[in-house]
Amino acid sequence: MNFAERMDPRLKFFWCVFLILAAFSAHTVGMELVLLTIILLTELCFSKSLKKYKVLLILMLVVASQIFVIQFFFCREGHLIWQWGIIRVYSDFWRIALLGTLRTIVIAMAAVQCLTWTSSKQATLMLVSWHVPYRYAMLTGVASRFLPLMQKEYLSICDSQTVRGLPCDGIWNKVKTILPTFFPFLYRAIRRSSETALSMELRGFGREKTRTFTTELAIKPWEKIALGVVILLILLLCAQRVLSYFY
Amino acid sequence: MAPAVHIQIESLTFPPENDVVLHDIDLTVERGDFVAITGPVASGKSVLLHCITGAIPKFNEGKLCGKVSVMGQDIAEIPLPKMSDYLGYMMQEPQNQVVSVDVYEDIAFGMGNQNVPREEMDRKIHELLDFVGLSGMESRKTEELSGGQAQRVVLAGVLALDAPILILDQPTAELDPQGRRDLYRHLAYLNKEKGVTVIMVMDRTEEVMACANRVLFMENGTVAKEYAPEEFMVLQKKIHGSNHTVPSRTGEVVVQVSGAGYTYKGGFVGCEPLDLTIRQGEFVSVIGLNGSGKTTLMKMLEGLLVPTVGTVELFGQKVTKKNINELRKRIGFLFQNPDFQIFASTVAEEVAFTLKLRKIPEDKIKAKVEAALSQSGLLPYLQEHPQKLSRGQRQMLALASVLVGEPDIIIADEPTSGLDEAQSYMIMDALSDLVKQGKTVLLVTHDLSMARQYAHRIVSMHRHEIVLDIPGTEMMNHRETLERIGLMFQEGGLSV
Repeated sequence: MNFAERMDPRLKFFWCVFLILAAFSAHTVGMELVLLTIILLTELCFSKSLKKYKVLLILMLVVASQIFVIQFFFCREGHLIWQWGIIRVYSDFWRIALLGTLRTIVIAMAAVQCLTWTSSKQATLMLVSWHVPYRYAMLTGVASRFLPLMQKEYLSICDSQTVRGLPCDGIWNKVKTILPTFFPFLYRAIRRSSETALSMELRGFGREKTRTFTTELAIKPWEKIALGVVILLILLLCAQRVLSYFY
Repeated sequence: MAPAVHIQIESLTFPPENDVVLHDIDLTVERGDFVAITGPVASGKSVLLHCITGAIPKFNEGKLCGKVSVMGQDIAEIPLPKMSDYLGYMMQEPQNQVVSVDVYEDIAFGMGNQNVPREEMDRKIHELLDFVGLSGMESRKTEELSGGQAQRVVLAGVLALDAPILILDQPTAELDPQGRRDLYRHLAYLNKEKGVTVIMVMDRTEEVMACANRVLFMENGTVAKEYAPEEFMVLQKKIHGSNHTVPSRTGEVVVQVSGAGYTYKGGFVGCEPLDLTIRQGEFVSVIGLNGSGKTTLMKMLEGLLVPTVGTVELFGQKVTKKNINELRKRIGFLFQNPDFQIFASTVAEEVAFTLKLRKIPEDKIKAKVEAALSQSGLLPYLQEHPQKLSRGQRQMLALASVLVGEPDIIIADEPTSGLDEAQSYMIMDALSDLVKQGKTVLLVTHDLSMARQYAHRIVSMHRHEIVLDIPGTEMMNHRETLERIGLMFQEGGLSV
């Protein structure tokens, strides 16, 4: 467990909120780049690796291409630089597209950072500390337990259909096999959710209004100070947004 | 003193269906009893357990006429989460009952719900981990656990509740001989030393009989007979006999594995280079503990994994990406879990799917489907939704889907897993019939007793290598090796 993972989950949550709000408030590419650099530096500082963002960045490239195409055709800011029939391209399209792309990347990376730094146990305790009933708060833990299991199971279903003569490799084959792979997956998920819920209830889940957790959140003095600073920054950003409507 | 469990069920139905699932049951289980429940497919065994736990009618809505009491309390008056004061329930698939990310948290789950103080919880968790043989694995991620380990975590979590009754539904369905032996040893200890009442739907007769003092035989939704364990064992031997091997009439080589091995990404060895030859008409059983390399070998034969060294040949052709789809038409694969393949909305459609993939005309499909379903005893369920069938029936449906393709080789990966003994014999008899017809069967199992009774040849795997390749009749001559690799045990002879 690295330093960031050990930190109080409330600090990590508000840090993520701050980054997202800041991404929305930033008006220039430069400001978004600063936020992106902060995320990357904190990540390198605590996790020593950026590997977890690999898939996200591939996904973001797809999103970026969509943003650029949309801005190319529909942006009406700046001066007209090219026209062909009804298609008109304005000079600011690339700047707005780049800003939009960077903003999306910052928001996605901030969320991923928060999710990967916070264990399901910490998330549950954080929600319980905010008086969310434990029946709901504990669902984050149950979800993180079963998602990898379901992923494995889906692969087994694909294998099973493949050997029946229905290959699941490649995008076109995956589309063709949606029904034979999705339905077994769905039936299994329904059966599993029912068994899991029964097992939980028979182990006393929900019998009392409160329950004992194996650990509890203990915020350190420096974390309290950091949390105060982050909340102050969030308030400043909100105030700036509100004031910008009037002035 | 009130009995542990008292059941008086006049009838149980699940409206809007009118079928009576349970009826005329009057059963008393005394404290300290070890009751084994057996019976044919869909006889109501698991439903009865659900009634004892209160899951029926509180969780699965049903119309129950009658009364069930545990420790003298009518369960109709006990909310489901408070049933944990009276009983612990272990279902068939351990992975569905492990609800936390790590072992420590999962064992603590029930105690947390009972508001047990943290220090006491910690002490008890360490005691239980020690008892189930998982000391030092507190922080292990539950997704990394093997079937046997997950089952032990579930057992520890259930025992943490300190309930006087333990209810188990085929608890060793996914375990290898070692895992089974450990679990039954724990159950016997709890029953004999701690006085815990055990009620279980049994999967493997011989092992359960060593612990049980009563055997209930269920049929058509009622307890038809009760036996003493010794009496039941004698009956079982009469019914199933001891040898089901059909005479071997071998032909040409159909499977040739030449120095084929597989190493997964990250350097984890799935299979060391192996040599294996299988001829037409042979019934070969590949046995080994979980993680011994059986599944990797099967995946190489199925073409799901391309060997990192060596070659695999089927029907004299080297398996390649180009020809694998064509070769698969001559092979039938029966998976451990039938639910991984069943997707159609009727039994008939499910079986017909293989033929539709091969573009066989509709008129021929109907006749072939009916023949396959008749062979597997599912013809009366032709238009039923597959999800309404019991686990054993769904496995038979998967077998029918294989049979309909008229394969030359049938590769069956733990086809009896999750089934009780009667259901297992049904599947094995069906496979044996195919061998009689000149087909080749390759069975992967950790059930030595089935392997010995049906297979011509036994191939034993250990630590990703083949350590034995012997005729089925000679298995007992290799007892020492089988004991060394954990497939046989000296005391009690649990797996053979």
